[in-house]
Amino acid sequence: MLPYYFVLNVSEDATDEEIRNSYLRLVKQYTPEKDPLRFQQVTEAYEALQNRRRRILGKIFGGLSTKEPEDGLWMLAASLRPVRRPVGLQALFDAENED
Amino acid sequence: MAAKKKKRKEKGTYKQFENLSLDQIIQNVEDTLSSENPRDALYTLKFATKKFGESASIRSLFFRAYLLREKQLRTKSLHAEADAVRELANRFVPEFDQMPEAVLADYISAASGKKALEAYAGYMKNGDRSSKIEQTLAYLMFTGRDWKAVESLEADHPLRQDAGPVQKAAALMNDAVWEQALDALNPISRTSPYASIRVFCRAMVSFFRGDDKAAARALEMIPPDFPLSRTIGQLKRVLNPAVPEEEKKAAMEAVGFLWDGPVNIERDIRHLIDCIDRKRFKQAVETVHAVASAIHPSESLRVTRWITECLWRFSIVERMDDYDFQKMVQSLLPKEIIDPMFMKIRLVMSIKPFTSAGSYISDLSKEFPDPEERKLAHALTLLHTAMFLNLQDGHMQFRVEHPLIGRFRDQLGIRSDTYEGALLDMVTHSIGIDPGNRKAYEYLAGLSRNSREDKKKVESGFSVMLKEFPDDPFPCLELASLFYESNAFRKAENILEEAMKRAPHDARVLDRHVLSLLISSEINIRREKFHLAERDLDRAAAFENKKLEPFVLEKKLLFDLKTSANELEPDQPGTKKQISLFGERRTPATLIYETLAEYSLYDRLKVMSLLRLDLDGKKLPQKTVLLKSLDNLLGKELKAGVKALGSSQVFELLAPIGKEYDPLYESIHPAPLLIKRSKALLNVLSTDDALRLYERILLPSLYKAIIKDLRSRAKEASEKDRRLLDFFRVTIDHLSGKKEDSDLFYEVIDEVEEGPALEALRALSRRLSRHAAGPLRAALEEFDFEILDETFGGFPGLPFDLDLDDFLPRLEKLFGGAEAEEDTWDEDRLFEALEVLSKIGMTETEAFQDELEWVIEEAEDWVDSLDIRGYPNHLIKQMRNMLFKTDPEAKQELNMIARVLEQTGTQSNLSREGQVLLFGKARKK
Repeated sequence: MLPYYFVLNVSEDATDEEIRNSYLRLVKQYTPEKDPLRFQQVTEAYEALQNRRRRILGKIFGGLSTKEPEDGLWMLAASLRPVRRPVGLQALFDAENED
Repeated sequence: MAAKKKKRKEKGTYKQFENLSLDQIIQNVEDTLSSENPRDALYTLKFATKKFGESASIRSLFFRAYLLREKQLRTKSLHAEADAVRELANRFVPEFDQMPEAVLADYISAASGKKALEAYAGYMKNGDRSSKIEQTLAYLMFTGRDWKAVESLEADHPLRQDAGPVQKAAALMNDAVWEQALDALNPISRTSPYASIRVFCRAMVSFFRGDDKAAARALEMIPPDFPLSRTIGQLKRVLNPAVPEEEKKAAMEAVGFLWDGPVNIERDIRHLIDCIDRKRFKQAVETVHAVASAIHPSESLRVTRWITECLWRFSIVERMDDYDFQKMVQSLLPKEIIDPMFMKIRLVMSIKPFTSAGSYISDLSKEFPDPEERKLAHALTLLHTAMFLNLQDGHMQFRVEHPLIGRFRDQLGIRSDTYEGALLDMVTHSIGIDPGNRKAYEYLAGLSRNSREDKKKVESGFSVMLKEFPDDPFPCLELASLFYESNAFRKAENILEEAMKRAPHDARVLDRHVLSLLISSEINIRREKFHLAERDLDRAAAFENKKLEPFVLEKKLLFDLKTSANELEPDQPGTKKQISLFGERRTPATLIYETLAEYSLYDRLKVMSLLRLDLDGKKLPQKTVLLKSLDNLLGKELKAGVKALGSSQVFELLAPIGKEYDPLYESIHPAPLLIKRSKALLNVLSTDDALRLYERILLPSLYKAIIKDLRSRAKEASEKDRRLLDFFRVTIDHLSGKKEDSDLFYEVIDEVEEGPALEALRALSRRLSRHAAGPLRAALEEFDFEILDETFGGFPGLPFDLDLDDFLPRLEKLFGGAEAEEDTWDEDRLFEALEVLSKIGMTETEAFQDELEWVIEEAEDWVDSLDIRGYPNHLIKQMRNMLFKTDPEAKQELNMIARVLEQTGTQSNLSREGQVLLFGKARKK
């Protein structure tokens, strides 16, 4: 389940430990009080990827296992949270002056 | 054309000003500039110059108008145009000390550092310092034009004094180390001309830290003429929680360089869906590629694959044709990925689940090069397929695919010739490959295991679990159940001892232990080994298990009744009174009464209803007397006490007692015997409890009572409950065969609007579907009752070609003999057989009696596999017509078989359904 990997920000060949570490880091970052939606997504993703069997099952069926036609696509969209990228002052001026 | 328009406009404007004085025109220009319309001001000024000549005031206004226009152009990022306008403005530069503050600020904002400082020096000749202009100068320095210029200022001038830290911070900001830049800006005070730069830096630090509130607060403090005003404006929108999500996304996109990855993927997904729905597949393919590259530039193929897999669902619900989907797949994915994907689609679709699983497993090495992962994938695929088949009732599928399964014997592990055996084979094979998967064992426990062989397979599976999970009592409990089913009581008890060792305080283990003692006592009572039965019952009672107490009591009563049956006298009216007086005469009723006297009404009813269930299946001396006594007592208790019971108590009394008690009772349904004795019980139930209960006790013998209760409840129920009650009633009408009309369902459904109420109906419909069969089941499952009206749709999802493939090869075997090839239909041989039968005529059919009987048997099996037993003739005929229409060969072959049966006079040996299927009509037998 590709979106789950995006939510936990781990690679497809991540180990149980890597997945767990990422999960623990993210639930600290997105607590239920701060960001309940992301917290839910992180928990759901961890449930789906926490053991090897589930990961393999996800690999076998992938997007084919979604229930409704649009579910998988929206799941993908929801899994992606653009990360802020520190840019330099000149880049800001350049962007400001862009047409 | 544009020139003409301009001319016309100028002409029109001039006409307007022809009669005005210079002062009036100047006032007009002032007004136009105040309303920020420099172009109109310039037109007017040109007219004024022509009419009155160039005066100082007109020059000053020209200057202001050009500056304003320049500013506007810069806001629109038209810098080349702005520079050109600045050149024009420079022709009209007035004396700086005559310039208003705002105009000078505008002039300075686009001047070089040196010129700007000169202008400011000129402005200061006759006046004080201007903080606004100094701020503009600070911005000018900040944008990096000319730091050296400030050195011309006096040493204590704030612009020069604070220039050092700002210059250092600007370099750090350029390197995107905003926190260090903020530290560098520490010496800048709030009154400094550079103060806004510090606030901006603080805003950026908060923004990159993710502290949106602090960032938004800081951004609010920055003046609107700050050099990065556009970026700041967009950021403010992004960080403002009150801004609508769509607007926020658009703002994020405008400053997308501040994020990694796509900032508005929702818009792209919406576009993709829109392209699919509008059948713009080329655009859809482009969008998928664009989205995939934006999400994961280095691994865009993974994303493309996921999106493509998701798009497959669109073809399933017919939002896209299969052909278009396949074409899209070819444009999106490389060939080496396409084949495995379609293999998986076949696996998910499960049209031929056994062979699809076999093919997929055979090809696993490509997708799972790691042997350990491959093993797990193999085991999981087997389990998935078995679970799918069990859900769908794959009997027919197994028969259809049976000839092909041999090809995948090793992959699927199937050795059995029965469907149930095949499922067990697959699950135990899965367990053999991956013994650590608990799900496989849980699933194994739920599979049917009627034959001895099947039981052995289950036993072997749980024996593996016994070793694999040494602390878990679950395999012990399952093995105990299995041993009880096989009457291997000693083994069952031993394995339960093991369960006790593993989890002595586990409630499941304790319950199971008491139950096993009850089962043992039951067997000993049956064998009349009463001393052993008594010992078992005492041991069971010693557990003091609250959950099983009624069962222990009931078995004790049964034991007492059985051991003292010959000493008991038939009940007489007034028995209870005589007991209290003399205490000598014992009847069944007094025995029951004495045993249960100290218990509550609910417990008494529970035990008596269990005893009634138990007696039904027992051979007892004086059974009639016992039953009569018990029925009287039960009737009296119910009559006297029903009103004292609560809804949940009645629910518990009437609900089925649980599958685990199967070995103890003939039936697990006490409801029919209790409702028969007191219909008032149903009145005690709340509507919620009634609906929950009826779903569990929907037995044909109770249809009438339930319908009556549903009707009476509906009269007084709330709107929501009334619909549920009506829907339930209509479903029972259909289950009982009294009604067959989709309108009855729609009368209920149409009253409900989309929302929770409709969802509740939908959920009820799905739950009730398990009580139905055929089209009604499909209609309830799908919540689509038009299925009931459809003709061909009356047989949803039946793969006719496959069914016929199943039927014909076996007939071929009959007529073609052992030499016939396995997968081909030897028409010639059948014709030969037909000819022989035609020639010998009806007089000598005895020679072919076995073969003919076999044909009939197979045809009947076919009818069963199609699940059309009990369907009306017209529906079966429509199905036959459809089959003939879609498969002319099948028509020919079935007609041939029909002729054989007709000529030999054996047609009437077929069931009605078989006759209609083969002949189109049924003959009376």
